[in-house]
Formats: sequence, structure tokens, C-alpha cells
Amino acid sequence: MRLTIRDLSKTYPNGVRALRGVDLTIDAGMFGLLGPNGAGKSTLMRTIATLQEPDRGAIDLGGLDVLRNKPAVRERLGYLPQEFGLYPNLSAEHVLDHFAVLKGITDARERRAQLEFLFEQTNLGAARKLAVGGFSGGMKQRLGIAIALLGAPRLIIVDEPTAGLDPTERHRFLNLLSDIGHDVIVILGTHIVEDVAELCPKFAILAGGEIVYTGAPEAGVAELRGRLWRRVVAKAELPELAARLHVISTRLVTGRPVVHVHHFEAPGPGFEPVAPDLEDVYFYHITRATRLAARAA
Amino acid sequence: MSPFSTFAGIEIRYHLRRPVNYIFMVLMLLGGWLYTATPFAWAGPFGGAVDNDAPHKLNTIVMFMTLFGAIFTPAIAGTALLRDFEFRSHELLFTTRLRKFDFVLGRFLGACLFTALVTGCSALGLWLGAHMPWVDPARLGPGGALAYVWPVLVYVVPNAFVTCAVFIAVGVLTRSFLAVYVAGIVMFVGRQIGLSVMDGAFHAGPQIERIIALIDPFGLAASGLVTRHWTIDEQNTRLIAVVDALLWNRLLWLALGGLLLLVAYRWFRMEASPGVRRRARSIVDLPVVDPHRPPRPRPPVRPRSGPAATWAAFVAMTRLYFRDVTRARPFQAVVAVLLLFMLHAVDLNFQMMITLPVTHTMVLIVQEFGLFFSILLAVYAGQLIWRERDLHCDQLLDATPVASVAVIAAKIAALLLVQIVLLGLLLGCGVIFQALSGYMHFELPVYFGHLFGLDVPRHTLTILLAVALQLLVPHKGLGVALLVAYYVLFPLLKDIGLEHRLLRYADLPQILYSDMNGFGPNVWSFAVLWAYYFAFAMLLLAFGRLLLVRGTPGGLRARLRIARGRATGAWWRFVGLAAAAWLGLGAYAAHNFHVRNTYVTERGVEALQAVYERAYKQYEGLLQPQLAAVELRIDLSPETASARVRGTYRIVNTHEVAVPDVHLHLPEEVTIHALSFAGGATLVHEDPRIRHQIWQLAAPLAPGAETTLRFELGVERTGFAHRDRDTEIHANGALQSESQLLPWIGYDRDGEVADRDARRRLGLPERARMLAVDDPLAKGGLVVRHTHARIDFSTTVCTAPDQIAVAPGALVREWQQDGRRCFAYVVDNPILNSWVVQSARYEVARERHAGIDLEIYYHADHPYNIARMMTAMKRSLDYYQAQFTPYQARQLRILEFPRRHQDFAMAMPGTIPFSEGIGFILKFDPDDATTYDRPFWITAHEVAHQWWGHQVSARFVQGGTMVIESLSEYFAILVMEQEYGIEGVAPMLREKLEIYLRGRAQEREREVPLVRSEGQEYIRYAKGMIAFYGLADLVGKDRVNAALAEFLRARGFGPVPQPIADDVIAALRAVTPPQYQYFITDTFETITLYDNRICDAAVTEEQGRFRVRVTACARKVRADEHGRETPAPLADTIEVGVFTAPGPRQLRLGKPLALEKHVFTSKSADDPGAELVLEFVVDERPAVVAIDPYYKLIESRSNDNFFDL
Repeated sequence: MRLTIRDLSKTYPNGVRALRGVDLTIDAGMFGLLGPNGAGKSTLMRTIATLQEPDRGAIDLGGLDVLRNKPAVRERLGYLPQEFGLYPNLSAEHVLDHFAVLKGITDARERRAQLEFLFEQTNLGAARKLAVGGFSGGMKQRLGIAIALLGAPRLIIVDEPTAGLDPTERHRFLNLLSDIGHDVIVILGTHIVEDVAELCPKFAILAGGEIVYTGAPEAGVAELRGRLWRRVVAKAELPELAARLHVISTRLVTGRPVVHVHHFEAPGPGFEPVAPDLEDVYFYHITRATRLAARAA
Repeated sequence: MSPFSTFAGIEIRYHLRRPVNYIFMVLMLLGGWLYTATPFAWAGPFGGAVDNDAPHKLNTIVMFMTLFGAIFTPAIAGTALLRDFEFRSHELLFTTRLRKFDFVLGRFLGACLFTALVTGCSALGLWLGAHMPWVDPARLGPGGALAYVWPVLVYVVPNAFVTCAVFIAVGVLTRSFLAVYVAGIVMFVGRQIGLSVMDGAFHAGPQIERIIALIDPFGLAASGLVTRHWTIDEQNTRLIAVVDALLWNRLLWLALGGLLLLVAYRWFRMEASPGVRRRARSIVDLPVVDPHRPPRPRPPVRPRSGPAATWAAFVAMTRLYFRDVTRARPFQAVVAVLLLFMLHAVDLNFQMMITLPVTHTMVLIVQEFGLFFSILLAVYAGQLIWRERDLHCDQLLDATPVASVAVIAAKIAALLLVQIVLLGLLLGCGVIFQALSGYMHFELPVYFGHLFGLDVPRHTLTILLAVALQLLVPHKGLGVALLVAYYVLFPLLKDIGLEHRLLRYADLPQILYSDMNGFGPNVWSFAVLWAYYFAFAMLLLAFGRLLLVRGTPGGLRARLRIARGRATGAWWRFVGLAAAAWLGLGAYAAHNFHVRNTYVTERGVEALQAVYERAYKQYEGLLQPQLAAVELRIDLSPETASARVRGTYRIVNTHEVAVPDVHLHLPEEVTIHALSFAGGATLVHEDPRIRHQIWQLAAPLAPGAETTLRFELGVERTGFAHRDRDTEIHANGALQSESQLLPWIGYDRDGEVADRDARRRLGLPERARMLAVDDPLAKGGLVVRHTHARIDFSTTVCTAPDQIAVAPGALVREWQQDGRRCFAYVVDNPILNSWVVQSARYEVARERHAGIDLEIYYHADHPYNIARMMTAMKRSLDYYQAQFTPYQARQLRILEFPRRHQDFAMAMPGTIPFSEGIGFILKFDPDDATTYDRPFWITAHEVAHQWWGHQVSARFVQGGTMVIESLSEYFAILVMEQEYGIEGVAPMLREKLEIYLRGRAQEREREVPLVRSEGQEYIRYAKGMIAFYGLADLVGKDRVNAALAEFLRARGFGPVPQPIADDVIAALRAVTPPQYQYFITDTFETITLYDNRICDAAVTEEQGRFRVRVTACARKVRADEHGRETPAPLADTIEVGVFTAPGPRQLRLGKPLALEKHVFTSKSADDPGAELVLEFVVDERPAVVAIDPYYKLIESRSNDNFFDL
């Protein structure tokens, strides 16, 4: 099973160009889709999830033209949107059972087995009789993934699932994702680099509607090895530094700004080399895209 | 600027930015505009001599429009405090330095002002409409801007305050938008039902009326109480004064609104707590799973697709949506309120109304909720269609493989189930009520037939349209508002000329259930038109499906592109099928309307009437031979709703000149198979549309000569017509009159357009409603109307073998012939040519009394009042024969006929056709002194017509109806009084007085004195009864009756000249002593009203006896034709009495302890009022003092006639 995206573009009526010629190939397994807010992640995922029409481009899922065979795609799809609500007065069990029927699990025995399995997987068994209106964010998110997992989907799309979860809930959720079979395509859209670092053998970075990087996390890290430098700076220095060098990130360490700079050799005195991590990879590509765009303009 | 007013300003600006609010404004503006700028103004309650901008009219319309405000105020006020929670900006807002006071009050004030701004647009619309260039300036009154501003101050602003307070309170307490909407529905519908209750509240007494006036939050009932007797002049000149009931109402509701606001303020928490209170508040943290647990094998699963899976999804969704609606508190609140209303409406209806709780009357009450259902379903359609989007789970649903069509279908099915459940509950209420009132004849088929055969299909169309609108206009509030606007404005479409059934969505034929005739003849056309609109709704839904939002398409262009992709082969096939069904059924219906029947609109009828008048009015005074004998053979086929009539007219030239031509006017619905004159005649002119024929006789008919007209006519019904027919030959209960079946000789003035505004529109000259007494056309009473000719009459009627057919006269023969049952009737004495033939499956009650056969032909299920009606016939015959003249026939019959849109009884020679809706199922409790025996009264009235109408008929000019109707009312009250005493007729007189006072308030042209009465029922019946009874009370019944008996003997059965009202008055004046002559002048010849009251009264106890000192005041005014009053001097005799306290079932008075007549004389020429101080000494403790306690005088305000000691 392979998902191929070709030249996908989308411009909203208000003029925002959400996707610009996205090309992407995703194989079975966890695939991280990283990008800052507004990069077009949700647009891309909604488009793959048959919920939005692109202006241009094609999506192919194992030989199936996604844009033309939406019903067939939906039969193979599990989708967890970024933000969602549920019928507040219904119990978790009723909600899950309802969606199971909607997903075509009409056999009562199969449905019961699915519910048993998913409630255990998501650790919601104790809450299954309770109205979902009273669920915490994490519980709701887990119920959402249970809905997405119903009926053995071949393509699972989860959009920012860990945003707003506390660390325990987040880990619980990531564990759950990692349990999904390896023959399934799982697209994890997120702006949290750690999510990808912990889970995804492959990932892509989306910025300004374009894929600016795609590959394996280790490969991304390896590319930057020996080219990253850090220095503690004074705040006043920052603009001058940013104009002169490719600053990929500025963060505070015990209250003082520390910059990470991409450079082939030491950019100057006071800079020391850093071992890159995935976050650096992410920032490198994001800032690079911005610089390129600025140069083009 | 304080933060408080800043918030109000922000609130108003927020609403000004919302496009939907402009739609509301335009709707309100249009609502007002229509009433002054278009023929609307002349339709309905206003028009005639009421100015186009009469203050009372402006007041009423602005007031009513605030009611519609209740539909959209929730959208404005309900969101004022909840919005931030929805936008999730509350945490941000509430953590600022904002004070709760500023926030709540500011938002409230803003919402309130904005609501007033929107509802106030109706006043602006009225003003604009009145100033349109095409509006006739002659129809505008002198009024100024204040007349437009006043109702805004009295209704718009306070009602905005009250509704906003209610909605904000409901919003704060429930934190649910739906609950706010539901509160809106409840207010709107509660008000509507209250309004219908108010009509009957009169019978429950003034206290109840005041209570209803107080509890109406919009002030409509209170205003009605203040203005309901306003004459045209008052309507044109007066601004409503905020006093009395209206003042209390306004104060009460402003106070309540303030209180609610206070509650909302106290309850409102500026905290971050989310939405609704939820059940699962305390979910314990779940145990953390061991991350090293062995992975469990995934259970095998094979999702299915295809029809079976779609069906399963449909069923699951239907169940879910049904539960979603019905389990929610707001819905349960609606149901509770609905059932409360139902019980309340039923209860009041039967307290005040007068019929037994037979099933179809229960159903009628359920159907009163029709508008409620439409609005409720519209709101819930909006709610359900956008349910997922509102819950933010639309993407979850949209990503499942379930077909969009199944989702929509499930939502429709859930709405259907909801309404079925609601109707079922109402049905249950009806049955329970029947059982509680001891009526155990439950007709479940009638309930089911109405609710599930008529109401469910009707509401289904509403649901489909509501859903289609939501899909096509993807904005919830707008979709709801459009549908509600459609249903509210629907009855008015006709007035703007949109009458065709095929162009008025869901305009289905009315089906009027009758116990005799079942659901009647319209069932088939109902089904056809329903299917027609169903197919249309399917088409709309199919287009809605194209635009259906699935996912986040963004933008109209994208949606249109998706829509193009959705127009698949299957879609086209569905559309093709629906379109074929729609067009096919439409063509079939049109074929029935236009080809098999004649298509006539109400406007079309008027246009034809105008043609008739223009072309033939010239013949109005033409001398025509007069009908002398009619011989008929009528073959009725109730089975096929057809009839065949063969007959002859013997016509005589009663004039002194020869008559060369005969003018015939034939009923529009009959087919002429043959028509010929003995001795030959040529048809020289025929107007096929109007069916006016002019025959030139071969030889002019010499004075005194006669000829014979032979004809064979058919009444053949094919298919169904556009207009509901009220006069079908029903399967059980056929009723055909001479005017429906047979040719009319001469010009018929009743065929002209009567309505003054319609005449103006059609360019016809102004016309008196009735010929003046001295009009040359009346020819001194020598030209006898076709229906007033005295004829010999013999009929043979053949009907279905299981039915009895009845015509006037004695039954001379009954036999079977060719499988038909035939009856031959011959009259003993000549009768007026005004008769009916009836046929039904009758039970017959027979008695012989004083040589007269009394017969009641009734429906087997209606035995309730037969004995009472029989008694009434006997008492009436005995009384009228003893006091006046002998009865002219040997039989007197009452015959039941199926219910119609208006229930009535009429008096034909020796026969009284009596609608099943009155008399037969009326209820009378002899112990209840607040009401009177209606079956008895109606019977006595109709029997009296055998004297007034049949022995003496009146000239067809002004005042003629006094001779016929007022005197019959007088006869009836005499018999009633003999049977029940003065206490038994006082409630009737009280009701008549109210009918008169309301009638003159609704008069649109001019009021006339009784002796010049025209068509107005409030004069000829209501005022007529009081006038004659009052006169007899003063002068003495013996004298009045003797004079009338003499009049009957002198003028009875005389063909020409027929008497007029003045002849009766002359006879009465002759027996009236001089001191009472004023009464005839006042009550009969002018419009005079008393305003009497007890100014003061006190009681002292003396040795076990009671001395009552009473100050009684009297006043009298003359009114002109529009109600302008001038004081009149008094030297009048008025009754004053002392009474015990009223018992539990008496309205105002107990038994009389003293009752005296006194002469009240004006104090002086300057002060025409009169005041008398009287003393009564009585043995029992008195409780009430009253002037004119039994309503024997025409009095403008009678509540103050009673004084509680």
C-alpha cells in the first residue's frame, strides 16, 4: 500500500495559498507531517481524507484515485480531525457503536468485538457507559482515535492529536498509535517535533504550503551533523546576527538567548558546535524555506 | 462613555454586522408595508370606511408584528450572554477588568434596543406603504406621525424588553441556544392559542377576560379588551390609552421582565465553565495501562458496503437523531408545554364552547397546533441538519463511508418520528379528556385518520421543505426564518393574487370531517396534490443534495464545482423520476382544475360578477312573469355526487302589461340537457360564462296569462375542482337548494360584487348594500324576488336505496324503482320558492302534536339533543299558535346535514335543515346559569321563521331582515323565557349585546338603525332580539304580541306588496303608550346606546331586614353611522334591582330580592345624564345591586351596571 500525492495545490477564496504543488509518497507505517501552524497540514490531510477538493493535483492510494473515488477511499479510511466534538448526551459505547455501523460494521458480533478491542486499546473500558460530554480532553482524543481505528482502515490520518494533552495523556496516546499495524499508512500531522521523533520512521516538513523536506529522521539529523553552531548572545545582537547568518532558532536557556546557526564552518568566535537533533532539522528547513522565499521576492 | 453603554453600543454594532438581521428587518418592514401599500390593506380586518392609516389599524399591525418578533428575538437576545461561550472567547473576556454589571446590562440593553429597532421596522414599513405614489390619498386620514410612534412606545419597546429578558434568562439558566429558541416558540404559539381562547373568554365572564388580558406578555389581549367595541370613528381618530387592563398588563410584564433580568444577572457567572450541565461530571482518572502489555490480536472485521450497510446506517442514524431530539431538555419542555396548552385549550373550549367533546371537535383543537408544528419542525430541521457541524463532529461523520443521502434521509425520518410521537401524545390527551368528561364514544379511526392520514402527510411536506431550505440556503437561522415566514404569510398569498393550488407549496384541499359524511369528497384531490408537492420536495432535495456540504469545500465556486461532479447518472435518474411525477401529477391536477371543471379564483368570481352586473343590471327592474308552480323529478345519486332534474315551472304574468322576454339565470355548475317554453320561444341571447339567457317568447305573455318552462338539468361532478365545494351532493347527507339546481327568473342583485373595496378595484360604481326602501327598483314591493314567489310545489326525489330523501310537503307516496328509493311530496299550501331537498341515511324520531307531524331526521350517532329539539318544536308551535296565528302546514321537520365550513340552520317551508355541527352535538347543562339552551333556542328561532319569512315575507330592501330575523329572534326568546325564565335568557341577551357591540366595531362601511338593517347579522339578530324584547318588557308582551298577531293576519300569505320594517314599526307604535314611544325611536329608528351604572350603593341592617340605598346613574348617546356620539336627553324607564350573591355557576347575580322600574330624567339640557337615589328594603342579605340587570337595553359598557355590596 502506498499513497502518492502529485502536484497538489489549493488556494482558498480569501487568497491564502494553502498548498503549492505538493508531491509526496508515503508508504505503510507511521509518517510524520511536521509543520508550523498555517503551513497547510490540515488542508493536506483533509484533502487526503476526501473532505476537501484541491484546485489541482492527484492523489493515489494503492491504485485508487482518491479524488474520484471518495466513497471507496472512505471505506478504507480512519480520520481524526484536529478539533472535534461528539454527541454530548450519548455514552462512549453508543457513540463508538454508532460510528461502527456508519463504517459498515453491520454484523453485531463483529461490532461487539471491535468495541471490546478498541475500548481496551484506548483504555476507556471503565468509561464506556459514561456520557462523552463529561470526558477530559485526553479521553475524548482517545475515543476519537478509537473511532478512527474502527473497521480496520488501511489509511489513518490524525491531525494534531497531542495538542493540548498533558505529558501522561500524550504518551498514552502515542503508545496507542504505535500499536497500529505496520501494514497501515498512518499520517500523523503535528507541529510537535518530539511526536515524530518518537514514532515516525519517515516524515515530511511542510512550510508555506510546500514540502521542504522529506525523509527519515536519522537522515535529516545526519545531514546537519557538523554544520550547527550555538552561541549565547545578547538580545541587541540578534538582528545583526540574523542578517548575517542563517539563524535557525533562538531559544532561551536560563533566561539568556541562545542561537543555533547553520554554517559549514565555525561562523565566528564564541560559537561552539552542536550535535543536531530533529528539532534542529525542523527549524533548519523551516527557516531555509523562509530565506529562499525572501530571496526570491 | 461608561463601559455599560460601550457594551450596549458594541452589541448593537455586532448585530448590525450580521446579514441575517437585515433580512429580519426587511421582513418586518415588508410586513408593515404590505398593509398600507397593497390590497392587503383592504383585505382582512381593515378597509371600508377605516382609513388606510387609521391609528387603530397602525396600532394593531405594529402590535401583531411584535409577536413575530418572538421568532427572531431569540437569535438576537438569546446569544447576547451565550455568544462568548460559543466563540470560546469567554475566558479571555472574563479575565479582563470587566464588571459583571456592565457586561450583563450592556449586552442586554444592546440586544433590547436592537430588537426594538428590528420590530419597529414594521411601523416604518406602514409609513412607507401609506406614502407610496399609487396609494389613494382619499383613503388616508388626518392622523400624524404620533399614530406611528405610539404603538412603538406601547408595544415595540416594552415587548422587546420583555422578550429579551425572557430569552436572556432562559439562555443564562440553560446555557442552550435551543432552549432559547424553544422559549420563543412557546411564547409565540402560546400567544396564538391565547388569542383564540380570548374569543371565547367572554362566556367565562369579565374576571377571566381580565386575567387573560393580564397574562398575555405582548399586550394583545389587553388591547383587544380595550378596543374591541371601537367604532369606525374611534378607530380612525383614537390613540389607544394606556389605562386599565392595558396599563396593568404593561406594568406587570415590565416588572416580570425586570425580575427575570435580575434572576439572569444573579445566575450569570463570569466563569469559564463550559456549556451545559452534564451528567458525567466526575469521571475518575483511569488506571494507566502497562506499556509492556503484550499486544492483543486485532479482532477480524470485514466492513460491508452496499444497500444493506446503508440501510443499517440509516436505521442507526434515525434512532440516534430521534433520541438526540427527544432526550434533550428543551424538547421535553416543548412537549410539556404543548400538552399543557392542549389540555388548557380543550378545557377552555368546552367550558365556553358549547359542543360535546365528539372526536372531530377534539381533532379540530389538535389541528389548531398546525402552525406550532410547522415552526417547531422548521427549528428542529435547522437543528438536525447542522447538528454535526454545531457539535464539531461533522468531519468525523463526513469521513465515514456512509452515503450523504442516507444521513439526510435519517434526519428527515427522525423529524417524522418526532412529529408522529407528538401527534400521538396529543391524541392521547384528546382521549383522556373525552373520558374525563364522561364521553366514552372514542372513535379511534377518526383520530388516526386525521392525525396520521391528514396531519402527518401535511407536516411531512413541511419537514421536506425545511430540510431542502437548509440545504439550499446553508444558514440555519435564515433557513428557519424563511420557512416560518412562508407559513405565517401563506394565508396572505391569496390577497396578492397567488391563488392557484399548484403554485402554493403544500396548499392542500381542506378536509372537513363530518360524522355523517366521513372525510368527504376531497380525499382524492388531497392525495393527488400531496403527491404533487411531495415530488416537488424531492426535486428540491435532489438539488439540495448537489449543494450539500460534506467536508470543508470552502466558497460557493468550489461547492458548485463539487455539485457538477455529484450530478451523476443515478442523480439524473432520480431527478427525472421526481420531475416526471411532479409534472405528471401537476398535469393531472391541472386537467381536473381547468378541463374537467371550470377554474375560478376568488378574484375570477368577482370579475365574472362584475361582467354580470355590467351586462345585465339594465334588466334589474324589468317586469318578469312570476313563478306560480314547480313540479320536479329529482334523481339523486349520492354515490356519484350527481343528480338529474326534470321539471316544469308554471309562470304567470302578474303585471298589467304584456311580457315579451324571459330572462333566465342558471347555476354555473349545472349541465343543460333540455330547456323549452310551452308555446315556443327563441334564445336571443346567451352568455355561456355567466349563464344568463334571454328567451323571446313566440307570443308576448299577456297580463294574467301563463306559460310553462320545461327543463332537464344535470349536476355532474367529474374529477375535482380547484375550489373546495361546500355544496356537494355528499355520499351521505346531500343537500340541494333551488338556487343550486334550477333556473332563476330575472336579474339577481345578489349576484353583484358586494364588497366595497372590490367594487372600487373592479371599477364598479359605489352601490348601496341593499336597496333603499323608496328605491324605484323595489317598485313599491310589486316586483317579487324569484325566491319570494309563492308556489305550488310537488316533487319526486329518488335516491340511494338505503337513504331517505326529504322535500317540503306531505309524503304522499314511497316506492322502489330500478333499485332506487323514491319519495313523492306535495305541499298543502303554497310555499315560498325557497326550499331544499335532502337525502341521507337517517334515523327518524316522530311525534304527532296538535295535529302536526313532528319529525327529526338525524344521524344515528347524534341522539343527544333529539328530545330537547322535539320539546322545543312543541313549545314553539304551541306558543306561536296560541299567541299569533295558526301554523300553515301539517308537518314540521328538522333534518341534519353534514358539517360545513360554517355551521348553520335554515328555515325552509315546513322543514328545518340543521347542520350537524350545531344543535345535534351542542351541550347544555340546565344547572349552569352562565349559558343557555342553544339547541332549544335555534329550534325555536327556525320554527318562528315559519311565521316570519314564510307566512309574512318582507320586501328585499333595507329593513326587510328586521321583519324576518329580528322577529324570529323575538319569538324564540319568548318561548325560551316561558321555558327557562328570565335567568335562563339573560345569558343569551348578554351574548347578543356583546355580538352587537363587537359587530359594530367590525363594521367597515356604516352602521344603520334596525329599521334600515341590511346584511349585518349583528344588527338583525343581535340588536333585533334585544330591541323587541326590551320593547315588550316596557309595553307589555300582551300588547306587542296582539299587534304582531294582527299584523300576521293582515299581511300573511299576501303576495304583494310585501311589508317593510316600517309597517311593523307602525303597528307597534299604535300599541305603545306615549311615555314609551322614545324606545322605538332610540332602539329601532336610530343608533342609541346607554351607559348606565350604579354610582354608589350601601346596605344597612335593621331588625333582620336590609335597607339598600342606591345611587343609579344613566346616560344615553346617539351615534351616527361611523360611531360619532352626541348625548341624548333622558326620560327613560330603566330597571334597577337588588340581588343575592351569585352561586358558583352564575355569572354576576343571584336571585332577585327587589326589582323595580324607574324613570330616569336628565338633570338639565346641559347635563343630559340622570341620577336617581333609590331605597330598597329586603328580607335577605343582598350582595349585588344592578341597573338593567338582564341586558334589556343596548348599552355600551355593562360591566359597571353591577355593584358588589
